Amino acid sequence: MQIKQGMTLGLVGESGCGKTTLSKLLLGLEPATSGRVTFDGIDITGWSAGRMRPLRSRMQLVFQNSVATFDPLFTIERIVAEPLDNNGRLSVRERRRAVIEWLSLVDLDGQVLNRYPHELSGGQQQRVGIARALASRPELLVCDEPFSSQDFMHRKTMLQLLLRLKRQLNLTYLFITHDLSLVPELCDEVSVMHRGKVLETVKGDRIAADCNHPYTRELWNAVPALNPRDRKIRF
Amino acid sequence: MKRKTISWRAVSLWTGGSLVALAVCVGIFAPYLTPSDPLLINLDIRLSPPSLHYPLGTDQMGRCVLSRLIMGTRTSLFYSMLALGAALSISVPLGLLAGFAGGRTDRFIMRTIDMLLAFPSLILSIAITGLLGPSLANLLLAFVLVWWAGYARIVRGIVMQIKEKDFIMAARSSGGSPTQIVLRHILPNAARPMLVLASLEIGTIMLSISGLSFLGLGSQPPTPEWGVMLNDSRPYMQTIPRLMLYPGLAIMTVTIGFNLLGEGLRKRDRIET
Repeated sequence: MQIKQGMTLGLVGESGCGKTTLSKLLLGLEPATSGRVTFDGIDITGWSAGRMRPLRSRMQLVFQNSVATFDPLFTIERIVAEPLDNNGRLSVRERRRAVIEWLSLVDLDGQVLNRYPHELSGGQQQRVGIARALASRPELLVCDEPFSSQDFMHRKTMLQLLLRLKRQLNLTYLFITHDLSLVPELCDEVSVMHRGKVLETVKGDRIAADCNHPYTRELWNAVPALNPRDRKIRF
Repeated sequence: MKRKTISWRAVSLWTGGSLVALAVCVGIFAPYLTPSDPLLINLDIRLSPPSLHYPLGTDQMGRCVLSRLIMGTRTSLFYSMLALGAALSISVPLGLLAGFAGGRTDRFIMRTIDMLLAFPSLILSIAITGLLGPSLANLLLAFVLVWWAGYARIVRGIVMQIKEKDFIMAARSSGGSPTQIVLRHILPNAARPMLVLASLEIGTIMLSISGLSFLGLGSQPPTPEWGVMLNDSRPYMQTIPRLMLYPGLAIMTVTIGFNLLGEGLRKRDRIET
């Protein structure tokens, strides 16, 4: 599996097939038992946490359930500012300005600064998660089912937000999802995972036509269709 | 069923809280509350029954029992807190280190703790005080040396629980160093359960300090201290039981107060021990 700079790679597969584990491997948050991980031409397989740290800011993760990834004692300002605090001190005012800037980039206003994560709605929490990830100025953003907990209206706006950010900040995405319906409009390429293995990688908009593996077809056919007559699986 | 548990927690929190607050106030303002000098010996009126001038009577030296009880609050509370503070300053860093670092560091610290816990703590304190000579300072030292181990173990458990939380992984992935993560996320999040458990433990500490003083290993006469008072009145247990009753009730009340407070806090924060 390979992600080229500036592209969006989708990673799909059923629940529990190892998508999240794979992303943690990529980011060096979990040790690999086999295989190699390279980033920007550097083999980072098995790097220690200390060695990894300078690289961390270049690849960030947007979590499936953001609220669990926020320290419950932290205000939104501190949460978003954490990557900034890790490297060097900023003055209080600079720090606040930077945080507001990152928040406005994800369409949140400064009102949330002094709130606590549990006081925000699910969509807002997810946006804060994205803002925190962006505050590290990453090149690669791994989105782990970033809107699986939201309704379809929000999904659409979030999707547009992610696409806009990609253009604005020249990001590379690894987009993990179990929802194949997003793939054609979002991903340049998509890798299909099953039981901890990547089965195949195809062009995102050609997923229906080009897939070779029967599992991919099965997955694609499981996407609910708007018109019941178009359903590919009969119940 | 649910309503009943909630009200019980509130009762325990408020009863315990007010008992402890009362004891602390008495301790702080002790010199102003005593009706007479707690150290003044007057053999003419020894073992006299309660009167207007001596509300709880006098002891075998003719000293005012109430005044001694009030001053004793100060000694007992102050030394219990001191012992707790000293024990925390050893156990919290070590517990944090063991819980966060894991691996060989964890094993080394934990085996040391196991070794200390293998001895009955009271006997170990007695042995250490016996070696150093009986005094309140030595008792404290002995106590802290023995007692930190159990608490460090608890701290380690709390830390290990927090370490597995997603926000710690998030902090790691945003490039935080281990020190930053411990100070910024783990310690603040562990502080609440740690304080709650400490409030549960302080009752035990007070009981042990009084107990060791009773055995003659802690504070020495004529310092007014509840354990010493118990010991002093021992010969009169059959003839004048009230002399033992007063310090006994004082120890019991404050210990129960701390336990209720700790229990109430623990249930409120849903902390598992």
